[in-house]
This record gives sequence, structure tokens and C-alpha cells, in this order.
Amino acid sequence: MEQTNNSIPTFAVVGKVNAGKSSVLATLLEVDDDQVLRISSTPGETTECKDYPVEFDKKEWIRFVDTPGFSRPIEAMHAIKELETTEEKPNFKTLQRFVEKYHRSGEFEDECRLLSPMLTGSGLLYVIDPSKPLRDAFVAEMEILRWTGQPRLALLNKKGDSEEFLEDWKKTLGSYFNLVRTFNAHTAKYDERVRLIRSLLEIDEGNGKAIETVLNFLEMEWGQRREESTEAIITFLEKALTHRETCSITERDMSIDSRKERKLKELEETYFKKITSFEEKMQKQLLKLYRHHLVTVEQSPINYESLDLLSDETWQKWGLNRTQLAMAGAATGGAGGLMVDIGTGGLTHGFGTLIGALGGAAAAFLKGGDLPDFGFSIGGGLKMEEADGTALSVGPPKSDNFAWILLDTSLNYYAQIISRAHAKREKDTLTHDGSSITRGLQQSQRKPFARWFASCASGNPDRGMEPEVFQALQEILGNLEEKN
Amino acid sequence: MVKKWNLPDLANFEALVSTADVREDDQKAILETLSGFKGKEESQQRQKGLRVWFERAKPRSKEAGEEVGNRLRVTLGIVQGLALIISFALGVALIGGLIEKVGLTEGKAYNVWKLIAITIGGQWVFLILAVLSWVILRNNSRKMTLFEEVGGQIIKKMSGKQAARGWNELYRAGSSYRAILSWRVARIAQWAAVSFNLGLIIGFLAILLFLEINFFWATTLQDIGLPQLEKVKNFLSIPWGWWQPEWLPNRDQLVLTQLQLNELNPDGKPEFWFPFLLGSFLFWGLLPRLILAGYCHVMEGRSIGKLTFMEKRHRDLWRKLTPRVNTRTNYEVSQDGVILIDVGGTDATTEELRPFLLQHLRVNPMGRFTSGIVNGDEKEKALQELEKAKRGVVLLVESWNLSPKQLKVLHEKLRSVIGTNHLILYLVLGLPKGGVTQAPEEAEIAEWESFVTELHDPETEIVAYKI
Repeated sequence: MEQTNNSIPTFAVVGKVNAGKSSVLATLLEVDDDQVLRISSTPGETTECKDYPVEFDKKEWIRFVDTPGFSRPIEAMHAIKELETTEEKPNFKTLQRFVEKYHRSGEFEDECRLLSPMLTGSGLLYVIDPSKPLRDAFVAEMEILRWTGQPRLALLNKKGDSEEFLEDWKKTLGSYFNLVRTFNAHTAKYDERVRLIRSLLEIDEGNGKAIETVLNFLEMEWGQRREESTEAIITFLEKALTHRETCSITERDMSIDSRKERKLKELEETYFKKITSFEEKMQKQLLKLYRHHLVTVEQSPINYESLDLLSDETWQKWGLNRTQLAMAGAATGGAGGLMVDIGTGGLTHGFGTLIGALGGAAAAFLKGGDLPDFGFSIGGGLKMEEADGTALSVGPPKSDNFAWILLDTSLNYYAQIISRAHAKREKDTLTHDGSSITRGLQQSQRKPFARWFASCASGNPDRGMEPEVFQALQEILGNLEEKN
Repeated sequence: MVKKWNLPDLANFEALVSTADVREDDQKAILETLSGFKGKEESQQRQKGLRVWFERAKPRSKEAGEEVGNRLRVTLGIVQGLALIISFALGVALIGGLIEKVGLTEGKAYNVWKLIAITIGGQWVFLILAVLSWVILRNNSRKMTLFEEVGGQIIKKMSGKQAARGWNELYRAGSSYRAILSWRVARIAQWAAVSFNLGLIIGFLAILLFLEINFFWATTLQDIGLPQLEKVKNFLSIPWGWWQPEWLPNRDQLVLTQLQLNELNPDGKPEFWFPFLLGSFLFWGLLPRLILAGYCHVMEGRSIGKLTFMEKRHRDLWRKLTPRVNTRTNYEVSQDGVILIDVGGTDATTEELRPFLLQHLRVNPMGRFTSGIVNGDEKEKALQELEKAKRGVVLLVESWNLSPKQLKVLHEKLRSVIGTNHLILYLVLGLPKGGVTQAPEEAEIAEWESFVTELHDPETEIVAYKI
């Protein structure tokens, strides 16, 4: 569908000062940056009209306009009435005359600014806080907005708990607006955002195609985010479950328990730090996908360190394990044999190389431990030194629950991220309250995870199983979106 | 028309996936193809879409190109050809090796029991064991069976280094390609078995044609031997006995071919056995293998058709190839931002002044810096931050604390940084009372107004703070 700038459906967000207009827009457009959309308890944060084009694939499909709130609605209503002619009640033309008269006069500055978009044809979303009583000033606002004759939607953006005035509001709003909807900007999630945009279809059928396109894009985008979140979580799980920390330790240190223990402890600390860094990376990816900038990532709230890690010891000589040493022996023996082959002018038909390689490999494999130990130090030059050693390796935790803990943590983060509205301006940190989402999974849902976790823990992730796990995880994230 | 996948192409595709060579026109071509598959399952869309990309990316990659697929195609051909030749030779050798020399005359003859047991029975035992291992091992383990593993390794070694990258992805245990490889190895094995049976039959016919051969059977237990042989004969003739009953030796003919005192009965003619054995070889040896080879072929095709292309590297590639929603997220910063410069260090906090600035001056404080104090003068820092302040600078000054010279220097410095078009606003604050900033006295305001007038700067204003 080709759109020109002139035919882009536009909706001005209007209301009393501090009614939460910017909050509605922040949640609707997923903007949590105060530099772009200011939200605070200070009334009058919005000083000018500002356009917020909704662009998908570099094309604008719909536009919202944030406006300053009504400052003096009753006086403005009277001023407009004074401009009405004898033949007609106040209407669009009267409002045009009002803006022409008071624009740049210093009087009714906010009213002139907020009416401007409607005088160029935009529809309007009137934001009110139904926990506040319905006063005459609100009636004046509604009256002025009705005179615009533009498509009008009233949004009940409840800030307080009181429902005392709700019925009054609903009764009154019904006579001034085409449609009344509830939208709590501080708790609204994806579904509610979609519902709000769908409501625009009802008040502005002429722009139905563009609004439907926006809805399709939103749905596609949300699906993509879920897919990419699944990718981030599954990558984190695989990395964390297959990770091992290794280091070399000399035979002498190995024989002293305290030194060995210290080395193991160091390895365990490094291992858990690594797991935490994988987790932080995943959190950051999720936050970026859902455009949250005020939520910070901190050290994992889970005390992984209480978990016992699997450990493994492999004998080493000169930093090589037995197989590597045998290969090195084969290469050395083979090289020696090759010299013999060359020396005989090829009469040995390569048997020298073959026998040398086989002999070198066997000797290194069976008697590698008896090889001399050389060490080099700056002060002492080349000297005999212990070169036997052991490769110590730790991770992952012995408990099978580790993988489930990681999955639960990831799902908890996801649930928190998707349920945070962008209108919130308090800084926050992702936490894990210890509740288990995976416990609620059915056996059939757990099965692919269990098999895949086991393959990851063994260090060889099952590639054939991974797509199944990916789809199962995507389904779980979808269910979380419905629940939260 | 989008081509269907096959094994060599898949190996080639895997080598190309790692290059991740995606161009804008690839996306367009895929989108065009997929428009005909709207509403179909995602796996089907991926099969078609990735095939389109593969056909486009193949000629672009010198390294991966056709090479990997061709090598695998040739290797598979060589492996299959060798398997056919070797199996055929084995069949001929086996049928020749089963000829025995009987009696004093050392006449050449086949022991019918032995011939049936080894040529047909042996094949069926092997087949049943293979099927059982396939069923048990495949269901209990995601790894390949030993036979598949060996077959796969041979093909891998023969394909050479160039094909290794694509092949490794195909061959990796647990991969979605495992089923395809299994069926391909099984298909090669079944064609080898077909060739083995052809070797048996052709060898058998050749022996009958060129040698004088007899048939016999022997038993120690007379009461059991003959009825058992009849049962076996009847069972083996089930598939074709109704069609060619004359191929079946009757009881008298069976009796005539029994070995008596290690000598052949001169009346036991080979014609009794030849058609029966040929029918048995055809229907119990060759035909099942042909059916199985066809079945493996169909199953390989089905496994290819079931490919979801959902492994991580495929997902990554698919994301690059299919349109992602590109949403605008970079909205412009509000144009009413100002930098506050607190001259001399006033007691008024930004939060206290904020409502006044927003509601009366229609500006938003974006940052606050202090100037004209002994410790922590932030004038230079403020000058750096001025870029962000679209609406200019607000100088917070105390009504009683006018120092014209100092302020003039600061004013000129500011003007040199922000240019002549931005606003410099002097917000004159009164003395605080009880911690609350008050409005300035009128006389003090008058002094400030005359100071600002003397600056001769049209973009400078003075405003008195109000509670």
C-alpha cells in the first residue's frame, strides 16, 4: 500500500496536564527514554507538540502526536464560544478562528498547540485518569474536543486505585467520544497495545488499511522477538552446560592436597564467573530485543557456587595428554625413520618412516612418563625440572537440576521483561524470585529438554534434538506471554 | 519451479551455509518464491526458500561452489559401483563354492539343504539381524548403527578434504540429516544385495549351462528329513508355486535325489531341482532386495522432504534471508532542552525549579553545572554539554549577587560556544526562606534588567522566579 505523508493516519494524544498522555505514548511506542518522551509526576512535562511517526521498513504508516495538556479549558471554552457566529454552534471553523486569534498571543498557548494537529485532520486519543473526580474542567475539555468533529477515542488511564468515579466517567465519555477503552500505561503489555491500535480501526475506518498493516507488522515483530529471545536463551544454555574450565598442575602440586584444593577452588570460581557472564550476555540481548534501557543487569541472583562441580584429571607431560604425546612421538620417530629412508636412497621403501612413527608413538604412549624433564628459567638457563603434570578440568555441576535452574532463571527474566511497560521510568534490575516456571511444564514438554540437557552436559550437544528444544522453548515463551 | 533437494546438493548447501553469502536480491527472489507458499508449513517454506538461495549462492562461491556436491556425487557413485561389483563377484563365488564332489566318481553336485540354507537362509538371517539392530539401536540411541557408521566413514574418507566441511555437517551425529544418510547407506547395501543375488542366479545358470551338475539331499533321520524338505519346498514356493506348479519337484522326485550310501541316484535328474531353485533365488533373494532398494530410495526422498532446516546455522541464515520487521526506534530528542548553569552556587535544587521552568519558560532542564565557585567549577564541562541543549542556556543567578564583570565574561564565553541564535536566559532567584526559594525583589530585578540591556544581545532574556 503506497502512503503519502498527507494521507498518513494521525492521532493526537490529548488530555489534562499530567493525565498520562506521554505515558500512553511511551508504552504504545516502546520508548523508555526520558530524552524522547518525558514522564514524571511534575505536571506540564510536555511543553510542545511532538510527532511520533510509527515506521516499519522505513515507511511511515501511522503517526501519533504528543501534545501539551489543557491548562485553562474552561476559559478556552468560553473564548471559543465568544467566537461563534449567530448561525452556527462552535465547530471546526470556530476552533480554527480561536487558534488564529490566540496563537502567539501568549494566552491559551497550550490549548492552541494541542488543537493544531486536529485542525489539520488528525484523530484524537483523549487520555483521562478515572480515579480522579469528573470536574467541569474535564467537561470543557471534552466539549472543545467534540467541536473538532474528528474521530475520537477516550482512554481510561487509571493511575490510582479508586473506582468511585469510574461510572460517572463512563457515562459522560460515551456522549462525547466514538469509543471508550481502558489502557493502563504503566501495566499494559503487548496484547493491550495491539488492542488499543485495533480500536483505532473502529473510530477511523477510512484509514483501516494502514492501521491493519501496522497491526500485521506488530505481530510479525513480536514473533521475531520471541524467536530471537529463544535463540538467546538456547545459546546461553548450551554455552553454560558445555563449558569446562581447565588448567595444568604439576605432579608435585598435585600430590599436595592443599595446593590441589586451592587450584580447584580457583578453577571453580573462574567457572562460575564465566557462567555469570554468559547469563549477563543473554539478559542484555533480551533487554535489547524488547527495548528496555532502564533495566540493568547485575550479578546472577542465583547462588551457583553452592553447587558441586564435576571434575576431571588427565595426566600430562610437557602439557600434552597421552594421545597428544603419542602423536608427538610418532612425528618424532617418523622424522628419524625418514632420515634412514633418505640415507638408504629409498631402498627401505619408506619402512624406516613407518617403523619410526609406530615405535615413537608406542614408546611415547607407554613410556612417556619416563621422558626427561627439562625446564627453563631466565636465571638458571636450561635445567632438569619436573614436567609431569595433570590437566584439571571442572564443570558442569553434578546435579541434573543445574540445567533446569538455568532455564528457570532465563524464563523468569523473560517474564519480567515482557511484563514491564515502557512508561515506567524507575530503574530496575532483573531478579529471580525463586519461583519455578519449569515445574509447571508437562512431562511431554520436559522430555526434549531433559535429553538435550544430558547431551550438553556430556559435552556433545545433540544437534538433532536442538531444533525440537528450540520449538518447545518458543512455545513456552508464547505461553508466558499469555500468562503475564 | 523450485528444484527438490538431494544428498549431494545438501552437502554442497552445508558448505555454502558457512559462507553466509546473502545479498539483497536473494531476499527478493525468496520472497517471490514464498508468495506461492503462503499458508504452508514453515518447514516447507524453508525447503523452498533455502533452495532458491542455494541455486543463487552456488555460482558465487568459488570455494564451495559445486565442488563439494560433485565430489560427494562421484564418491557415492564409486562406492555404489564397487559395492555392486564386489557383491556380484561374491554371489558368483558363493554359488561356485557350494559345488561338492560326491561319491566315488566325485560327481559335481549341490547339496540342496546347504544351498538353500546358505544362499537364501543366510541372507534372511543377515537381513533380519540388520533390521532388528536398526529398530533397536535407532530408537534407543541417536547415534548411527555400526553399519551406517562404517559406510559413512568410507564415503567421508573418499570424498576428500574439500567435501569435508559440508559432509561433516551432514554426518554429525544427531543431525537432521542422519535419516537421509542412513537410508542412502541402506540403499547402497540393498543394491549390493541385489547384485549379490544376480551373481548367484547368473552363476547358477552358467554352472548349469557349462558344467554337469547334480542335486542331492541327505539325511540320517529318514522319517524327519523328507517331510522337512517337503515343508521347506512348499514354503519357498508360496510366492510363485500357484503360478508355475510344474517348477515344484514332487515327492517321488525328492526321494530320487536323496543321497544313498554317499552315492548319487542315477535317476535323480537335475531338472527336478533347477526351476525350483531358480524360482526361490528370484523370489526369496532378488525380489525382496529390489523391493527394499526401492523402499530405501523412497524413504530417502521422504526424509529429505521432512527436513525442517531448523538447526541453528539454518535459523541464522533464514533470518538473514527473510524480511525482518525494521521498526523505527530512534525518535528525536525533545527540542525544549536547556542546560542550567548555576552561577555562584544557589541553594535552589533543579527539582524545585523544574515545574517553573517547564510551565512558565517551556524549557526542560537537561543538565546542571556550577560556575563561579571555589571548588568544583564546572564551566568547561558545561560548555561541552551545550551541544545537547537545543533551546540554549538558563543561568541561575541570585538577585542580590549581581557581579557584572564576572557575568559579562561568562556570557561572552557562552555566546562564543552556542552561537548567536540560541537563547541565554537569566533566571533571577530570590533568597530562600525556610528552605524554599523565593521571588526576587522588584528593585533587584530592575538592576538585572539594566545589566542585560547593556549586554546588547537580542537573544538574551531575563525572568524573575515566581513561586
